[in-house]
Amino acid sequence: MLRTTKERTHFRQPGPAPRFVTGDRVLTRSDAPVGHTRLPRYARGKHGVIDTVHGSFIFPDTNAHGQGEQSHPLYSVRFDATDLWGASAEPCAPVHLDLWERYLEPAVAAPGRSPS
Amino acid sequence: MDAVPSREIADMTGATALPRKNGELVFDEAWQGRIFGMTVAMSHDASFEWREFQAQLIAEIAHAEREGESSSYYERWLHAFERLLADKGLVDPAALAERRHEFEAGHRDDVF
Amino acid sequence: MSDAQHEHGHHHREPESVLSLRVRALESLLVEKKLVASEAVDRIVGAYEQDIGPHNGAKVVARAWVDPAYKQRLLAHGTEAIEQLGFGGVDLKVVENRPGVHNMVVCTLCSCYPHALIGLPPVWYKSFEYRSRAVREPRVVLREFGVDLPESVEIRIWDSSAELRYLVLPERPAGTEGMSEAQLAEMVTRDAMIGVAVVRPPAPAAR
Repeated sequence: MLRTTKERTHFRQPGPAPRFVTGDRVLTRSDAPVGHTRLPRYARGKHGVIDTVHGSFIFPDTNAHGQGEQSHPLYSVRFDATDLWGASAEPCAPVHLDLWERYLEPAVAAPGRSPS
Repeated sequence: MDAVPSREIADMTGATALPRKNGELVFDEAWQGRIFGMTVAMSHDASFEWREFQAQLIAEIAHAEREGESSSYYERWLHAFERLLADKGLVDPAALAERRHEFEAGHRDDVF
Repeated sequence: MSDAQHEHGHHHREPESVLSLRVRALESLLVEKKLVASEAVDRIVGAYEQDIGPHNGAKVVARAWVDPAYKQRLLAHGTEAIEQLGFGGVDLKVVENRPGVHNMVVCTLCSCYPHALIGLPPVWYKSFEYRSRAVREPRVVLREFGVDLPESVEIRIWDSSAELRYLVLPERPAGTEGMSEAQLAEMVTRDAMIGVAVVRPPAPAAR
């Protein structure tokens, strides 16, 4: 018998239509962390690419702030190591983060970027 | 710290593998959990290395198989543990026999 | 499958009540000699009873190795696929190791972990060191775990920042053709499903 510690075991719920599709370039928000509970510091204000559209999941930030359970699109976003860590990054070591749509803005393609 | 399962103990394989159902440990009787817990507790407190107990368990299981005994896993565990305690001089077999007699005769009745 | 010995009765078996008394006597003596504390025994039994261990995840991996259709379902819809094997309670994404791609899982924000499939997380997984270094220098970290990957292999790090849990589907090692699903499952380790180990080919066994 499996034990689950939370009352809800599945967080995937119906929600609004996703804004982004796989392949879209995005820029993560870099504003103050108030309320952004699930955007790690290292990935703020960084360029990434939508890897997977997961569907909608309960967004913890509204829930934590007493605004109830709201469902928002969640994405797997892929970041090149050099975009996160700079020139000293290891080669071929991309990081994938699961990020809610509210953490993301569309980004234009960076000029002169070579395909990874 | 002893509340975190040791992989060395939990993931034993082959004949010494802990009985499980769907991945969960199975204790058919309360005494099985007690003997399991006692052995693990004493290995944590460095009375002996887990490796030493495991060797006794392997030997005990092999002996029981050779003799065609249909004893359960934890019965064999109990034999192995008693043997280890005696070998290491931690428990005097005579004292243990006397204590057993006291329980069997009803002179003692501690429940754990 | 390693089952407990079936108790057929009769032969040389002592009645259960005698065994129970014997264990009580032993605990009584050990407690008296301060070699054991009964509360510690309670805690240990509780902890191990809750420790599912990696057996569930290992079964999922073994099934994916032998059944290509199941593997596709597992990679596309992890949550539903593991429910088919009787494992529920987790939103799951399975990522596949294959030639040229190695996957590794971490949770930098806390220490999220697919408990239902691989049991309790190891202490190192929850450490600040692992959580900060796995994203930053995965190749070095993997080398410290004994996995040496050339630069041509892409190391994909999955930081479980939401409620999705990640499980790595390790590569099936060579020399395992013809092995049963149960035998394959026994080879799959928790560390391989986190992504800090690979499943080694079986040693030539003298069985």
